[in-house]
Amino acid sequence: MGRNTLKLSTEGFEQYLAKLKGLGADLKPIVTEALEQAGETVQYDTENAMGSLPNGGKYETGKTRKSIIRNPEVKWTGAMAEIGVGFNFAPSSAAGYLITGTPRMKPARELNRMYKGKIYIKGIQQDMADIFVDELTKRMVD
Amino acid sequence: MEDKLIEILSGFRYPVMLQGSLSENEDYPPHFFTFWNNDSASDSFYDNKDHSLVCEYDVNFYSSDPELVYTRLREAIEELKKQGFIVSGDGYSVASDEPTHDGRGVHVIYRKN
Repeated sequence: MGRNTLKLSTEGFEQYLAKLKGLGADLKPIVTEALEQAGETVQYDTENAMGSLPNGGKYETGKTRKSIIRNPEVKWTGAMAEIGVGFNFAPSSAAGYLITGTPRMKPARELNRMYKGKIYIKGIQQDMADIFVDELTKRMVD
Repeated sequence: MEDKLIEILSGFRYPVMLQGSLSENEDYPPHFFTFWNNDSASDSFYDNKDHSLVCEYDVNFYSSDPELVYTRLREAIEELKKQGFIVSGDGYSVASDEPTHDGRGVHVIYRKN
């Protein structure tokens, strides 16, 4: 079973990266920074979402909180980079129950929105795009 | 939007319920669908009005027959696509409260103009 993670990568940002490369930019630190910032946002939002759960709930254990991936590393495969953020446990773990719920337990609304919806991740990708645009603007002004 | 989703899933003649709505004392039906609205957002906003709305749902199928969990969900995916929902992938395993039942879910999107 896979982990409860969101994979963020450079896929979809090829045009920005090609333009940056054309302007002589060193892509590795820029991409690493964008992915790490996105990872930090997801980690922060996940911790907040966990914090908003009612105390004493069925899955209110330190274990679930500890399973949040912290300070994930960017992995490079050739020119592609990715980062895995989220929970370091299988879908059958407490985090999995919280994200999808069960017929007897409603999903934790915020975690479900983040990890199952597409709208949240689209916002994170927009943040990454903004970083690339800033880098492009800097170089075009210089 | 839920009305349309429920109508399509009900066509399979299994109970359709909101995820988390079964009480602790209620038995699982042998086979059933659940759904949950993940999120909804305005996709095109101008002239101070929403012109399209994107609604996202989890659709889950639970069954005491592990094979049916795969086949029925695939049939549901095909039907939802035919009815205008956007569905990608073949689904994923979802947790069940009962050891007698397995569950599979899929993420579906509906754009209302």
